[in-house]
Amino acid sequence: MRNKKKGLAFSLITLMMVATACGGNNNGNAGASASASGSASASASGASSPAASSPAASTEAPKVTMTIQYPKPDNTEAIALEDSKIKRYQEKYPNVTIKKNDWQYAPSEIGIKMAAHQAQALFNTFATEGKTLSEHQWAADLTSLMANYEHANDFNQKLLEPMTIGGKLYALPFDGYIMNVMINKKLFQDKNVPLPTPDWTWDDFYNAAKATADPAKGIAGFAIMAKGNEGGWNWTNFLYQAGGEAEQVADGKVTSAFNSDAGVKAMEFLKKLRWEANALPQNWALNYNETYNLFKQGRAAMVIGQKIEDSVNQAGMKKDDLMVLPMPSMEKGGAHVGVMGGNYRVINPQESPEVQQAAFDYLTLDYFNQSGLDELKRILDERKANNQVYFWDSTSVYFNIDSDYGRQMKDIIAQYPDTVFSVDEQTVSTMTGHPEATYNAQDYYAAITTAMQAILSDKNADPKTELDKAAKKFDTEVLSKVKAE
Amino acid sequence: MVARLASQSTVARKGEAGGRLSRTFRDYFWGVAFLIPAFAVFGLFLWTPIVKGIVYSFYNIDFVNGNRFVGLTNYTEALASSDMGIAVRNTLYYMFLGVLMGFWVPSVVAIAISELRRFQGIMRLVVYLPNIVPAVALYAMWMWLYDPLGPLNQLLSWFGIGGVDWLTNKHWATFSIVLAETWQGFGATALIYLAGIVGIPKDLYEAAETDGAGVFRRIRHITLPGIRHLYLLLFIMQMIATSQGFQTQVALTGGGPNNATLTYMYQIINQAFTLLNYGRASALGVMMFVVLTLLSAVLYRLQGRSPQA
Repeated sequence: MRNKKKGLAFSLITLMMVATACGGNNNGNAGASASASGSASASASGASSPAASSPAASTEAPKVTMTIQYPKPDNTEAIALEDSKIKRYQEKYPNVTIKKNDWQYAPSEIGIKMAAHQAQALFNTFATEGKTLSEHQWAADLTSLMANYEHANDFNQKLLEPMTIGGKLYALPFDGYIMNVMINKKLFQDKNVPLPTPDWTWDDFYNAAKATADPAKGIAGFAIMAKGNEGGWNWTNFLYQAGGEAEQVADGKVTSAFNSDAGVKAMEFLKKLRWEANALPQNWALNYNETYNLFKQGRAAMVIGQKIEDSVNQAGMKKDDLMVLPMPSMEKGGAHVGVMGGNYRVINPQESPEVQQAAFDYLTLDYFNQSGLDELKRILDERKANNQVYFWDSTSVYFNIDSDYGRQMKDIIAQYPDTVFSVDEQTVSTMTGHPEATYNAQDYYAAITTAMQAILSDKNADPKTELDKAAKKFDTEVLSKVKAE
Repeated sequence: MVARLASQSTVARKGEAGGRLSRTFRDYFWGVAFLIPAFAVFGLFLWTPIVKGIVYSFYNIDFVNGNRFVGLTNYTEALASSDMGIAVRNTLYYMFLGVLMGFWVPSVVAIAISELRRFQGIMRLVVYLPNIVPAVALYAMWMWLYDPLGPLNQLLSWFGIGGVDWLTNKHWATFSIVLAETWQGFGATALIYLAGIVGIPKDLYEAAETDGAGVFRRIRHITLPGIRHLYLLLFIMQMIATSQGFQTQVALTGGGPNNATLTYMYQIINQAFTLLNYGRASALGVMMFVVLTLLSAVLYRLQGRSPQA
């Protein structure tokens, strides 16, 4: 009988374990019980709790538990920065318990995360996602939070645009970018190829790529991303340089515009690089990481975008072997246009107002403050001590560079000439940013990647035909369901 | 008096029935109790998703703003999509190559091992080793093997053959995927064949050897007929498995080049997790479910006919 009771108890416990295993992870809690459970799980999940003995601990402020996006374990530099920020935040807001979660935003995962209520209270995203996040109500409207924020008007307005939908702001930038070209100068020198200058054109780019390529040694003159959505993202730079647009709006309808003459020119340029110059990697279907890995291995002379810090601090490349140039212009004297995007922080609308406020305070902790300047100085000191570099691109900061705050930042940067890798003023002055596609940008990139792969895998593929095919599919399956604003 | 007797009889019947019920309860209680966790797990993680998938296929899914019934729209849009024909064609080609390149390998290996007089145990372990390699390491290894300057192209160059674009040429990409999967999977299937061969009565082999039969006659007249039923079973199982293939495609080619390795299942993944169109992904899943159910029915029929089933 006793054994039967034990058996019954075992069955019930098993059933309860199964049932509880299916429970969601509700991060948006507040109050004492949440705090208690939060601290209980802290040691197991890497949560960080405010010290109970903190002199600043307030008995009046409501206790809040908030989950933030934390860097992946292999990104030690970012972890050190985040830990420092958490420490400073908790000194100021001891009522907030912070839980760390290293999930990174991915267009393929956000739907599941939101449905499961498992996205962090504060997570990072990129400029293309504004429309998707606002349409699905996966990003909190920051209007009311910004209304009480003293620096609401001090942001780099250009960077706010992609996240301003229907007059409402859905995310704040923490950095931005105008796409440029990163160059391995050593591969140019090895082949006695003169280094290009900021005023370069497609012809210069083509010649440089062709001259530096050495297929027998597995060295590409130019590695473009051509797998996943990244392919379309890279190619769009050439589209913009040729004067094209990704989409057009007319009579309330959005349709493809990338299969224009400009699009054909951009695709023909890619075709020439692949089949005529043989300048691309033989295994050209590379995604984001694979492209930069190729560069870091010294197997690509040029790539789009910059990964200066990663290349030097992680991969051991020499700072002096690297160079950043604007995207080439299509013709002499033309605009050096690059895709303009950025990284943003989103507040999860599924959280309570208290948690949203806590997330906003965390997000803006170092913005426009002395703490932001101190933090920059601390990072630079640390990098200097470790012989590492810090990449500085004045076009891509969240604040207005000409403001007082911008000037203070520039003064600090100027104190570390050997540590800072900055894009020179001539390059900066030639760079022109063009925002990413407004509607379903990731789907657009995916459609372009397919067209790129058709061109790169078949010598006889016709750019116009492939672009028309991609446009037809994108229009029918995606844009036909979009309402223009 | 009659009424009283009737009443007593009813009470007795009730008592008897209660006793039977109680006995039945006692007999089955623990069995049922131990089944509950299994039912709970299957219900939550297998049956509920299947039912929900069917329901979702008729809805436009929006987890935040609520779902909207759309009838058969998801099915008609899925069938009209330009990717549909490509995905079905690629999947059939992938299944065909799987049979052509991979189906015969495990049985040949199993027969070869069964004929070994020594080192059978070691050989079983060796052929199973690729199954133990973690998928991530495996894909990294094949990326290296397929690199333009990798070992396979080096090998070809020794014979004066130019390098092959294993993963970026649309004519080679599916072949490369099947080759990698065959290498990874043949060991486990070979062990199933070996188990079948072990089950063949030894006296048949002894009698054949006494009659002077050589290796090939033994294989032809004893081993192959002895494992015939396994060929049918494993063929259908391979069909079912390869019809759902997408993992290697995701890891090695991302469905490219130019959709050359976009399979039906990969299309479902794209719809659900790239386009966030869960309704259409569910519709695609339901259509696949129907086809696989038919394939499973064929499997059961073939198993039923098998003399050793």
